[in-house]
Amino acid sequence: MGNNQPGGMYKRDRPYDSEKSGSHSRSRGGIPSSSPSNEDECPVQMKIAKGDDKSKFPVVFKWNINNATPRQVYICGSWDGWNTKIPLVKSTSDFSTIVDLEPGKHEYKFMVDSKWVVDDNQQKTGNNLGGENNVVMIDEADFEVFDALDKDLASSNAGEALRNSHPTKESHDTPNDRELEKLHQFGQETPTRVDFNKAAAPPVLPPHLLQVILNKDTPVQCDPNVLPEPDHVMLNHLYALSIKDGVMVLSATHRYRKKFVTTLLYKPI
Amino acid sequence: MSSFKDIHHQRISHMTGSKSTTMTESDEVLPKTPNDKEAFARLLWINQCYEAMPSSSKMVVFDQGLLMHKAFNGLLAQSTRHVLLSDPDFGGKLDGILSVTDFIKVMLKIYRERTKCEKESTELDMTQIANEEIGNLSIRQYRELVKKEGNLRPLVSVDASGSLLDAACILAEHRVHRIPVIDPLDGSALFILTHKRILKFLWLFGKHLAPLEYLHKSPKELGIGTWSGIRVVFPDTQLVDCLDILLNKGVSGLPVVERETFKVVDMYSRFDAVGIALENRLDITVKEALAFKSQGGPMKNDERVVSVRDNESFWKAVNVLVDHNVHRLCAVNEHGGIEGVISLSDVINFMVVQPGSHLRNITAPKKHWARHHTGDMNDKELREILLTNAANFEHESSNSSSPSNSALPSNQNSYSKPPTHHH
Repeated sequence: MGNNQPGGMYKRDRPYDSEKSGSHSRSRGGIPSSSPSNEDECPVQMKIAKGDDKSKFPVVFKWNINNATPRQVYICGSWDGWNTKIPLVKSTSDFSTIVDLEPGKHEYKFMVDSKWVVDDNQQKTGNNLGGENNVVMIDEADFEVFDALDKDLASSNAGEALRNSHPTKESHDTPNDRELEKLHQFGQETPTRVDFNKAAAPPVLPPHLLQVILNKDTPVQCDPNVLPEPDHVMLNHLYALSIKDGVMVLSATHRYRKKFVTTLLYKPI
Repeated sequence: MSSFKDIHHQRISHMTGSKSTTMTESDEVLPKTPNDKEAFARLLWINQCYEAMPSSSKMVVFDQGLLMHKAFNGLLAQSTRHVLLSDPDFGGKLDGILSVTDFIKVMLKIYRERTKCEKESTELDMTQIANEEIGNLSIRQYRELVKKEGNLRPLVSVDASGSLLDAACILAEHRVHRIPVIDPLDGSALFILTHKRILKFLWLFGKHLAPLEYLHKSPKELGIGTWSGIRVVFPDTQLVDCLDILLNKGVSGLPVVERETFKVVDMYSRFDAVGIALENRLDITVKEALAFKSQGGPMKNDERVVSVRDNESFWKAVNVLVDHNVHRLCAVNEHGGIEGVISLSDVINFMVVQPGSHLRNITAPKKHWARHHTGDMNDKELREILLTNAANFEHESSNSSSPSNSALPSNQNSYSKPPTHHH
């Protein structure tokens, strides 16, 4: 609901595996983005939650429209031996797509209306043909926050109970006590001391940070200005969307008497 | 249909915050005669704007430095009709509202300038709005442009502690559909009160007033709505002409009728024009615009025409307005031909504003408002109570410990009693 993600973005899977190219590098890489002016410089890296393949990480590639809007934009890279041209999806002012990449160094290039071009605002390197390629460094440390959340869930009481129940869809929302109660069974065996040694350690990150009220779906019939009621731990926190098109969106939820107000501020940067 | 009713009632309860509203029957509300026309006005008079607030609301604020085409993207992304504007030079002070009406004005202005220059391409989308001069204005520059034309209105707001009757009268005076409700302590916006929300409040808490006799007369007898000089459009009317009427004739929706029979086939409102930005065209007829609308819109085509028979009762019309969540109804004859249009503002003016204007000068009885719960306190008040209790507790503990423990240092522990609850 409150997300400002461009429409039509999809995750493209590679049709076949390919060998890793280039040597491993532990340096932190940025996300490529075509940006003619400083207005659209994006300090926030758009890292998206990992998919099922644990060895690959989703990376957003973007081509900004400068003067004339191109008809087609493709990206081609060393991750599959430069075999596949992946089309980028047009949004309001850019073309973008998400590619799952393995950690390491990857070179890539854009094909804009049948012409090979590089993004002048991203890191570049020379290729063997006398031209230039763009370079991106994928580091596993960039995605550490999601590993921490997965580890918290596995070590908590909720994760222990969920492991036996095989939930239909994976979610980072932590189930509450009533949902957990349904998964347990009552019996007449007295627990031994060993059972209490499995008490869960406190989570590394507070789980309520993922319970963003603006990300929850509301029915279409509802007034778009009505939201679900927030948990009290959400109050007085500042949330931010990734900066897009030079606009920053901030939100905070406050209590007013017995009711709650979530204020969103759109601010240019 | 029953499941729709359940969702409908859940939505009503959720939006009007009935869970926390302590509505008690008081003598001021009950009708005094079977034809008492002030009953609904008194209901609003004794309730604060806070009572009509959703239990959890979303408030969108735009910085005035935002560019116009990015502002419209934000309007679309949030699916809202209006946003507040904040001035960063004055510490984020709220000083305006941007709505879909401004969006229509910008679209029409660009279209007129293009037809004046006789450009070949008439396509118009968000990218090309960005390429136009007016799309690259900031909101502040756009408002200065509107100010030069003499059309800029100052922001009108009400306090959350003000009465709903006062808010309804202010809406009628300024001829607007919405008004921000402000926290009287720190000036932040809580929600936007609209005619639609006021009518839902009246319907939800005033259902026991339905035996009033005049509610069962027809709207035409009571003089509610527009029954002559109705503005309509035809399916082959050009969309730019339709938008022109929406902007300049002071109406927010137009019935689409067939030329021969004047049968109502659809409605076109200002909010429908927002979809034109996605369709990228203004050089189409109303029928083509509505064909696009019915494909992607949430309501099916047959549900978009909300009408009542011209001889049905006024209370029936109110129920239809609330059930279908629309801004206006068409009154039709037995052939489906249009006879009149009843809008939300017509209904609220008749039910509340005209009978209740004289009540504004009288202070509402404090009996209901004065009931004080800890849940109603703001954070400052709660903090003061905690600090006071902590100080009192330290004082009592130092008094009780000094006679018996004079040889020992006084107790330096500091913690507070929870505030006492009155239930």
